[in-house]
Amino acid sequence: MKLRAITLKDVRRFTDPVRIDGIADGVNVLCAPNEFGKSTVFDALRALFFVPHSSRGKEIAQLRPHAGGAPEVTVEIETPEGIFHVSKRWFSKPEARVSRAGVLIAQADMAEAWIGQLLGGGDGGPSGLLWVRQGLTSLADGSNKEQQAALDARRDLLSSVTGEVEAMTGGRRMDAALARCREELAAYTTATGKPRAGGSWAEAVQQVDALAADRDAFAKRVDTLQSALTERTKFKRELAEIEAPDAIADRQARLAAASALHKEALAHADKVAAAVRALESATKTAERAQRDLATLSTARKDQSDALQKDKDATAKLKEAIAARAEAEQAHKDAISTHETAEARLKRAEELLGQVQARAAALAANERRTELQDRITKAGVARQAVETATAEASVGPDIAGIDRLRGLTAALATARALRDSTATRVTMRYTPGHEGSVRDGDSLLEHDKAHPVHTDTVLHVDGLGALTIHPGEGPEGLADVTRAERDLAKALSGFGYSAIEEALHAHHKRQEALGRLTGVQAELAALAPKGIEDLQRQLAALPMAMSEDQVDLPEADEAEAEWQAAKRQAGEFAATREAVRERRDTARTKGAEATVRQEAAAERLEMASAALRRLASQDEAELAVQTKQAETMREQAEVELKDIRDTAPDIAATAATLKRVQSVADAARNRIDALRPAIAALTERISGNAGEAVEEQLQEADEKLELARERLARVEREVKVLQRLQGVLDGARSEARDRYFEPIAAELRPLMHLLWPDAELNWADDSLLPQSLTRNGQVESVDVLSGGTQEQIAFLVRLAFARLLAKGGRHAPVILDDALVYTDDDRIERMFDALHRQAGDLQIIVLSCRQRAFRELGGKALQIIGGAR
Amino acid sequence: LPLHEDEDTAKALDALLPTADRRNTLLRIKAGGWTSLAGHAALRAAAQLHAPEFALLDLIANGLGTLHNITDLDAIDQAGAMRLAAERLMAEANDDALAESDRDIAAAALNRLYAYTTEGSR
Repeated sequence: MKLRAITLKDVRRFTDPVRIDGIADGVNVLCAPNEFGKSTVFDALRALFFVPHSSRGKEIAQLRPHAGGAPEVTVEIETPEGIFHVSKRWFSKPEARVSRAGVLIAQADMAEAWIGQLLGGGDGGPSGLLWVRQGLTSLADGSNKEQQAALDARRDLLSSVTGEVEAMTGGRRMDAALARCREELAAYTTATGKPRAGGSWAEAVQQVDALAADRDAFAKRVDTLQSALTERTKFKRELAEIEAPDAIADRQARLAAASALHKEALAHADKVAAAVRALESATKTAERAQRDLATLSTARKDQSDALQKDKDATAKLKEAIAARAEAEQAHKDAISTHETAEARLKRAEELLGQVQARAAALAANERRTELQDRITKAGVARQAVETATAEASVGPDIAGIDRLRGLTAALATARALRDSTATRVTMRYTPGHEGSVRDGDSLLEHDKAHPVHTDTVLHVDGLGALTIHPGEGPEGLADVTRAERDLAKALSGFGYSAIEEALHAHHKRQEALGRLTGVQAELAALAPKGIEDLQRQLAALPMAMSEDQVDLPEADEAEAEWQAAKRQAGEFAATREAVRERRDTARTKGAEATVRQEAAAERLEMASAALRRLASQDEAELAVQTKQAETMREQAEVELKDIRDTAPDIAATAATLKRVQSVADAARNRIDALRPAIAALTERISGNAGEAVEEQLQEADEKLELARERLARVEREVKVLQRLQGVLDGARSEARDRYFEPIAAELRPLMHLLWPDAELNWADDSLLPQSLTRNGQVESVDVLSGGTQEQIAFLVRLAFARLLAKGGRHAPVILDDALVYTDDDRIERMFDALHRQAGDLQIIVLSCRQRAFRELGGKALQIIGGAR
Repeated sequence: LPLHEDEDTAKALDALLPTADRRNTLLRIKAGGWTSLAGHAALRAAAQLHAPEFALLDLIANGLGTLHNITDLDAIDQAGAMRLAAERLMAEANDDALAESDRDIAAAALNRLYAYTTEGSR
């Protein structure tokens, strides 16, 4: 079905007929401002197709004009069967008519049935899916009835191309099976697949763990028991071996033999020691004989040599002593001469100091006189400064006197102004009567205007009093009064009553200021850093010269004497140092000669002593004794060698004895350790035997085996349920994808116009998109922006329209302001989508966004006729 | 008495029964889980065998599911997702390339699906 023309009469504002014709295939656009009647056209079309002509319901009542009337709607439609006119009128003479080429096809209920069949049955048919009323941009908007109609339309459409959704996804049977599977699985596991606390899986795991722990404990005790038995058997066998009579006898025999051998070795060692001592004695005797023989020969030679050297050393010692005495005397003389020169130098230095002190004292006397004079003058100048400063602070300064002069000038000006407008009296005396008219005490001068400011009485001598009333008086009286008050106040501020006093005081102040500058300069010249500084300099000067300084020599004489004494002292100091070195050399040589003489004397004494000791010995006799001693030494060597060659290894016999002894000790210690250990093991074995540990272990093994079998069954059950749930979920998901694939295939290229790689995910119950997958992120449609939701709804409707068209059920898509949140960039892409889908569709777009929809293109529609 | 597939139901009942003072014991045992028809029979026989030893021994087995040998998948569904799931499980159960344990799990899952769809809600 495609719309070609629409006519409205008595529909809301359109009380006169209006018509939209020329509706083409593809995109048609009716763009007009608000309140133009676009939504009225939409509602009228809905009423024509979905509201029976007999209805007087709210939906039809809303179509009536305010003035009343019978709404009437007529459309011209094109179907494969031809061009039809379908019209309806409500309220007054309601009717429904279908005609073709002026021939009535059906009317009233037959016409309604014809329309219903045209739409595919149902209350809303595909129109609920494809017709978007203003303000309802979401797919799930509208009344419950409209939503249900749209759902039915979607289900009908999808089922017609892919089969019933129930049949595809398993429906309630699948839900029940999955719910049962999940319920049973939930009794075992958590949502993450771990054993649920308190569930039979967790209980089986805990039971296995607990029984395994018990079994391990028993096994450990059995192992302990087995170990004790094995150990006790080993200990008993070892004890029996150690305590066997043969073993004891053998250990004793070995100990006795080792002990005897070691004693024999020790005795032989004593013999070796004795032979060694004999050899040492013979060796010493032979050495002493050889030494005596050599000593005798050497002593005779040394005595002669030592005697000669002693003589030489004694002679040199005498020479050295004489030289040292001479040097000592020379040194004493040099010290004396040097000390005399030093005393002269000291006196010369003292005299020079006194001469220099005298010169300083003379210079200080002059400076003292100058300072005292400056201090006196500075004191006078400072007094003058203080006086001038005090006088310069009295009387008005320049600013003050300028202000007073200004006020005086202002007063004069005010008075002049006053006088210029004042009543004036001019007296011209006749000769001889000068001064006969007075104003108070002052005489009126001849031929001079005398201003009269207030009531004034002029006294005329001889005639009486002449009273003058100046009336309102001159102008400026108040200014004069104010100027006088200001001047008086300013003068009073300085302590004066007249400007002349102030001028006099100012003059004196200026004089004092001029004087102050002069005396300040004088004081600065006399005492730049103040009088106190001069006094400090005075106090720091040296004392005055004493009387005994008067007899001192002149300074150049004292300087010459000091230089001569200094030179002489230096020369004598050098001489003293040279003599001291010579004396020290003489002392050293004397000491060396003494040492050499003493050494020579000692050697002579040694040689003489040796000769004295051997004087009784004959040299030939000494040679015989030496030979005999050597022979005895050789015999002792031979005897020692013989004894050593036959000596047993005492270290080996000692080691053997130690080893055999340790074997015997170890046997005793081991016996002492084994007996209590065997007793303790016997005690432990007896205790475990009473508790039947092995039987308990066997029982624990059996329980553990049963628990493990149960756990295995539970785990298998969990795997079965998990596998079943996975298969069911996967199958349903796959079936759902297959169910929605036709609409998804239509929608995919449209979606990619806006979002490359985006996919919509569908809900089984509403058959509407429930989420959008973009860039790997899944976003619920509900949380998307208004613009995005609106665009998805728009594209979904276009996709459904295309699907309908493919099924041979062409229905126009009517969109009344369906894009209200979409921005300018995306709206152009939505226009592209419109044109892409419009190939075999009819799309009618109603919009108030005239500027934005100018870019949409398509066929422009107009509402013609009518009076608004 | 929770039971699992392939579990010896008679042995499980024996393990559950108290050993002391049976003559003065009133006992009601509620069996749950899954077992084969033979398992059901063995459980009933064991209960009847021990019943005289107790003052009362009452076995409630209507919560114990029955597992069948599945050959006809039409009993589960003729088409759609349920049929697809059943076919997948059947294929896994008969797939020699899979491990014995995986085939066993798939067969048991198919059996359970059959039980769900034929028994309805318990």
